[in-house]
Amino acid sequence: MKKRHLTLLTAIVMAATMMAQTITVTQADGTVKQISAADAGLMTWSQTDGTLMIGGQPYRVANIDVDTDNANIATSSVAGTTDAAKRLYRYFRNNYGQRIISGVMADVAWNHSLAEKIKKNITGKWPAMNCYDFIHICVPDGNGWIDYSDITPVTEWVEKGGIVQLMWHFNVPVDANTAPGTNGSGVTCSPDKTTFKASNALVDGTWENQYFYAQMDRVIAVILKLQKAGIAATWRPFHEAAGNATAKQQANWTKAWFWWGYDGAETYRKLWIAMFDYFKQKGVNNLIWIWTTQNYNGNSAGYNQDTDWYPGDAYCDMVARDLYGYTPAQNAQEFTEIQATYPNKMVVLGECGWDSSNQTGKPQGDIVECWNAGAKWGHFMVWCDGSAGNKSGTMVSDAWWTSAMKKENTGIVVNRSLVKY
Amino acid sequence: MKRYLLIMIVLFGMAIAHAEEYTYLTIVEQDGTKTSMTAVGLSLSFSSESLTASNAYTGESKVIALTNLVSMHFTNADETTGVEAMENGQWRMDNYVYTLQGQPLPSGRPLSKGIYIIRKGNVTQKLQVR
Repeated sequence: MKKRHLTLLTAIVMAATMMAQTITVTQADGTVKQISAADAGLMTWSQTDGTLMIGGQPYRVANIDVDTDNANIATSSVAGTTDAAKRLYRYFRNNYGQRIISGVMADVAWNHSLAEKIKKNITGKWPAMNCYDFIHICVPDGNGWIDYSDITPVTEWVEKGGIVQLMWHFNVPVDANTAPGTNGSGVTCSPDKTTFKASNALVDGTWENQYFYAQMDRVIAVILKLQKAGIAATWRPFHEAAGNATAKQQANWTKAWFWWGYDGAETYRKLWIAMFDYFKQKGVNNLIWIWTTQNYNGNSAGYNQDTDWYPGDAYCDMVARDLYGYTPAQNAQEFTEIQATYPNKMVVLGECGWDSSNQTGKPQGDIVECWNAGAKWGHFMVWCDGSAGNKSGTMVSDAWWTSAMKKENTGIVVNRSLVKY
Repeated sequence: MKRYLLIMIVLFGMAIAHAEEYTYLTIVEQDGTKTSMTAVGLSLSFSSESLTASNAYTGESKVIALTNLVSMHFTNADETTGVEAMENGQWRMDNYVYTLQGQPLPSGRPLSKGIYIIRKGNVTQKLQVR
């Protein structure tokens, strides 16, 4: 009996302690200390020696930040060191577990036209976050139909208060002798349609290595332009890497479905870290890095967890999951499992929508129902669907957007008008 | 059994107290003025002469000379003194409104959340828009 009581007490105290707010004290000498707001007490300023007494200890303070606790989550991002990146990371962290940031995909690549449809055709509200895809960055310049060097589609979104997400369907040529066409032809992400080997991308002197770094240079040029414009973004490259590779019963089809995962977990981790290091080397400091897990592919009986594919705590800030056709209960289960696997990272819904490219597929659960069921995703991001025939051009119904963005749900779902950071 | 229950109740109370989510941080000045600012998202920056408190999420901002600073504490009550509080959009157009730094603001426009100086005829006082 005693033991049960003590266990209960411990759980209560731990749960309650985790909810307290935290102040981060940066001292004049640069040292940083975190203190529970509850422990700070009366903070008195000494006119004599210019110190602030916090929790009974004197501090020569340079800065104090007050934040929601989220004790397990780091107070700073792994690579986002610009002011904008710090503010964006802090905003996500302070909202984490409190509210969900709404988001939608671009109409494929470099625009915010679907967000505009959601606002103008359905809800009267803009989603908070727009996701842009570098899927066409490989198309030669001067192609006449897409120009990533013109960052207007991003700057005008940010000027209106929106949050930026960047992702990359990293297209590679179908073989060493094929150059990407100006119409976007000759490239793919599918390993069965290219001779491009992920492992060779890390070997000097190979065509894959040359292409890998050349394409990163093209993306980096755009991101540095955004950085110079004072823009930070969440960054979700190399997503869904494991694909079906973690199946317990291996078969011909139990492979990664993107080239970056096809050569296995070790190569994949090296690719991720190579990108991370190269971006840092080139001065990219405005990104919040998001890694995407497959989380048992939603079936722990049939699949192993893909923890071998995780690049490591030092290389990402958030862990995403892409779900199609999942109910609120399934969303909650996925969130809970991922948070338990990565307790020190924010967990977000990287992509969501129907489970097939038409409206007959199983739908993504109502996002507020998902939240109330326990899926406390840091953000959601609805995928595009040009053939949907609905008002939004996305993979959820118009009613889904209406529900997500309605006024009574603003305590749970953050739209663009509520974003301030 | 009773003893354990009593211990549980006490510890539970302590845990709740420790877990309290504070709404405000109140800054107290030498003349007794208190300014309560929204806690989450608040940044306090100390220079050699002043404390700048700002909250990007709410738009609140205040600068205090360190010679006037006495103390700060977390609270759930808005303890701001000398401030007339009103909901946004309720202030009258015939009042003159300034930022805490003295910058005049155009009349007739909604104010974002924060503290302002308002002048009504010969009377000047602080205004908190919430």
